Amino acid sequence: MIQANSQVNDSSKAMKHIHKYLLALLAALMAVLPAFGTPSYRLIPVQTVVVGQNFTVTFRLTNGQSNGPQPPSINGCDLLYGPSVSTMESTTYVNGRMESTTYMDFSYTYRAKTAGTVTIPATSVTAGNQKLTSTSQTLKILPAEQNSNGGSSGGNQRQPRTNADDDSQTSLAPISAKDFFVQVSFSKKTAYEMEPIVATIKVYTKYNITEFMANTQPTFNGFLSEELPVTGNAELENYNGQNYYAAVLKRCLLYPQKTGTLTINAGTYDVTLVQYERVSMGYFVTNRPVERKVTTKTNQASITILPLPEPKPAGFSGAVGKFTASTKIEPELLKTNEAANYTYTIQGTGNIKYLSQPVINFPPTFDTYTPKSDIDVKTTGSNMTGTFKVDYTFVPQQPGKFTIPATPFIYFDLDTKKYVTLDMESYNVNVAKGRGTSVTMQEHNIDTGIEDILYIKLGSKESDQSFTRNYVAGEWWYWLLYAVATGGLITVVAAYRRKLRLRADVRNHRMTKAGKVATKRLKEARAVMNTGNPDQFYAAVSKAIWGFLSDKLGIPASQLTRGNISEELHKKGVTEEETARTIELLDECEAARFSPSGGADRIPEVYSQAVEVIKKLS
Amino acid sequence: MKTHDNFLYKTVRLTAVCMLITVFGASAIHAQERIPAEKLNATADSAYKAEDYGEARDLYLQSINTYGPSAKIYYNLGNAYYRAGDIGHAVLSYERSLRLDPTDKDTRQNLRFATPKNLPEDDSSFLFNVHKSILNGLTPNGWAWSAFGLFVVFLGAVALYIFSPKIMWRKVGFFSALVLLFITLYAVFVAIESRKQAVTHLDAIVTAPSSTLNTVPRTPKDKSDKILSLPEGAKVSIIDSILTPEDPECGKWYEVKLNNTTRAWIPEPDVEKI
Repeated sequence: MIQANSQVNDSSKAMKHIHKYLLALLAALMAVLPAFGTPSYRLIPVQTVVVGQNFTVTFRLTNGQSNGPQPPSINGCDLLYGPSVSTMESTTYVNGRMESTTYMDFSYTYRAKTAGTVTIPATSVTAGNQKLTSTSQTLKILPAEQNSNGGSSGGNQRQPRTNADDDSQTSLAPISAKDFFVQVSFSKKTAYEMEPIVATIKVYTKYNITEFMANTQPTFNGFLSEELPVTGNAELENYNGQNYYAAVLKRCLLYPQKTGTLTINAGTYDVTLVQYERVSMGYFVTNRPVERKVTTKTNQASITILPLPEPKPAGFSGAVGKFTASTKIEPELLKTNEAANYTYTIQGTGNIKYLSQPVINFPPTFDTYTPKSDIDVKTTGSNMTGTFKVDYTFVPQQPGKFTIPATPFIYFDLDTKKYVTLDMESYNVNVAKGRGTSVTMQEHNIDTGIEDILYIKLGSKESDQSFTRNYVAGEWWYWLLYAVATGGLITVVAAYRRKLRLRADVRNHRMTKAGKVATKRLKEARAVMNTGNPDQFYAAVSKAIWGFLSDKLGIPASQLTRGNISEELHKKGVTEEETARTIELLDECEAARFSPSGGADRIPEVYSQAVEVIKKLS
Repeated sequence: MKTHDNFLYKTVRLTAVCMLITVFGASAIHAQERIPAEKLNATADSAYKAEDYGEARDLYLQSINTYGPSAKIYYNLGNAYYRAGDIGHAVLSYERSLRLDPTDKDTRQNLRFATPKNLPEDDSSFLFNVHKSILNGLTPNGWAWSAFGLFVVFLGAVALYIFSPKIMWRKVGFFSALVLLFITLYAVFVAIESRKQAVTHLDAIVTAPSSTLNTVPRTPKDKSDKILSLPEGAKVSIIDSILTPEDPECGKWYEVKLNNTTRAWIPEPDVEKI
C-alpha cells in the first residue's frame, strides 16, 4: 500500500493525524470492498474544521481512470490548490484467485474562512464510458477560539491538542479544567414524568488522551435508562468559544420515574493526558511528550421533572408519548375447552418498553392464563418506537353468549399535553360447545361451594324487635295446660263411668220392679173391665204387657218388636211355649182393639191370661 | 291546723307539677332522639347496599340498642361485620341471630361460611347431631306448642282407647297412645332444651383476632404452657370461670370446652358470650 501524496502541506499534526486515520480506513475498506472491478466514485468524508484552517477534500475513484472532477466550490472556503492526484493499487489472492483494485484520489485543499455550515457539492467524473457522481456532504466550520492570538499567522492557526508550541500544553503548565473536562448534559431542562430525555456524557479535551478509565460512572437514579449507541469518534467542537476535540462517552435515553428536581451523581474518570516538554538539544528545540495522570469529575447536572397533570383519567397506567392500539380475538369461532387468544397491540413512540399490561375483564367462566408480553422496540434518536403486544390466552368453560368488555388505552400526549383515550372494541362472543367434558367446571363447583355470604334481609320491622322475649316453656301456665288437659280427660272418663254405672242401676231397678209395675197396670185394666168399654181395657192390658217386657228385658219400649222380644226371652231361658203364649196375648190385644165386636166376650179370659204371663215371666 | 293543711296541699301540688314537668320533658327529649325503627333499619340497609359496611354496622347496632334485637337485624349486622372484615363479631352476630330464630337457613349458611376452617374437630356423636338439628328445626315456642299439641293427640289416643266400643279401635288407640307418649316426652324435652338454649348464655365466640388457650388459668410463660391457639370466630362452651387478680395481664379466665375431649382456659377479654 503506497500513498504518494504530492501535496505539500504544512507540518500540521492534525492533518497528519487525519491522514493516518484515512490510511487505516483505506486499509479497512480495501479488505471489504468487492473486487469485481466495477468502477465506483465517492467523497471521502471531511471532518469538522476551524476557521483559518486548511482542509482537504478527497474524491476517490475505484477501479477506473479519469481526469478528475471539476473542482467543487465551497461557500466561505477558498480553494488553495488541487487537484492532486494519487493512485494506489492493491492485489489480493483469495483461494488462488488474484483480484486487484485500483484507487485514484483527487484531493483539493481549501481554507475555511467563515464559520458556519457549508455543503461540499457532489462532483462527477467520467470513467471509461460511465459517468459516476459522488455524494455531497455538509461540513461544519467552527469559529476560531476567542482568546486566540493567532489568525495573523495565516494558516498556522493554533489547534487543540496538537499545538506543541502553546505554553498551555507544556508539562510545566497545570492541566486546567478549561482544557480538559467531562460534561453531562440533558436534551431538555424540564420534562414530564416518563417523557424521554437524552443524557449525553461528553469528554472535551485539548490534549491527546492515551488512557481513559471510568472510575465511577454517573448514575441515573430515578430514571429508567436505555443506552444509545455512540460512535466514539472524536470531533472538533466549539464549546464556550473554545475549540475542543469532543467525544461522546455515553448517550442514554432516560425516562424519569420521579418528579421534582433530579440530579445525576457525578462520575469520576482517571485519565492520562500527553503534554509536551520543550527540550533543548543543542541548536534545536524539540518537544518531548510527557504523560500526566489526572482525575476528573463530571458536573452535577440536574433536571426538573414535572408530574403529569391531574386529574389522571381512570385506567391511565403511565403511558406517555404517542400511540395507537388495537385488539383482536383468535379464532373467530370460540369453543368450550379450546384455547383462544386475545391480543392487545400498542404501537407508537414513547415509553413503550415500560408499559404495563392492560387488564382485560374476561367473563368469570373463562379460564385465563398469565398474559405474555412481546416488546419490539427500536431506539431512534431521542425516543423509543416499537410495538408492545400482549397475548391473553383464555379457555371458555361454558357455552353461551359472553361479552369481553373493552379496555381502553389511555396515554398522555406530550405534544398536546393532554390525556388521550383510545377506545377499543368490546367483543360479544358466542361460545359453541366444544369437544370433551368440562372437567374444570365441575371441579370448580365442588371445590368452591358457597362463594360468598348471602345478602342482607331488607326492611326489618320494629314489631320484630324486642328486649324481652317470652318463651312459653318457661311459663307456669304452659305447664298448667298439660294438667288442665289431663284433668279434662280424667273428668270426662269419670263422668262416662258414672253415667254407665247409673244406667246399669236403672235397668236393674226396673227389672226387679217390672212385676209390681205390671200388676199395678193390670189393676187399672181390671177397673175398666166392667165399664163396657173393651177398647180401654185392651189398651191397658197391652200397655201393661209392653211396659213389663220393656223393663224386664232392659230394652226401651220404642225399640221393642215381636222379633227381639222372642229373641230376648229365649236368651233369658223362657220356654218356647211360654214365649208363644206371650206373643199370642199381645196379638190378641191388638186384634181385639181393632175388631168390630171389640172382643168384649173375651175380656175375663184375656185378663187371667195376662196375670198368668206376668206371674210366669217375673 | 288549717294552715298546716294548706301548706301540705301546696307542697303536694308543687311536687306533682314538678314531676309532670320532669316526665313530659324527659319524654319530649327522648322522642327527639329516637329515629323510627323502620327508618333506622332502612338507612342501615342502604348503607350496606352502598358498601359502607362500617356505617351499616353502627346503624344496626344503634337499632338493636334502641329497639331491641331481632333475628333479622343480627343477621344483617353479621353480614356488615363480615364485609368489614371482623370475622369474630360476624360469627357472634349470626349466633345471636340463631338464638332468636334457630330455624333460619340463610343465617346458618352464612355462619357456616364465616366460621374459620381450622378449628378443633367436632367430635359430637351422630345421634347428638340429629338431636341438634331437630332442636333447631323449630323456634322455642314452636317446640313448646308442638309438644303440647302432641300431648293433646296423645290424650285423644287414650280417649279412643277408653271410649271406643269396638275392639279394633281400642287397639289402635292403645298402641298409638303408647308411641305418642314417647314422642310427646321427647318433644317436651326438646321444648325445654330449646328454651334453655335461648335463655342461657353458655356459649361464647372468640372475637380477638386470635386467642391462646392455656391448660391453667394464667398467661402462658413458656412453650410447654401453650396448648392451642384459636382463630377469630371459633365457638367455645363456657363451663367455669375464675378470677385471677394477681395476673397482671388478665384478671378473669373462662374454662371452656372446644369439643367433647378438649377443655382449656381462655382469657375473658378474648371472647364474647352469645
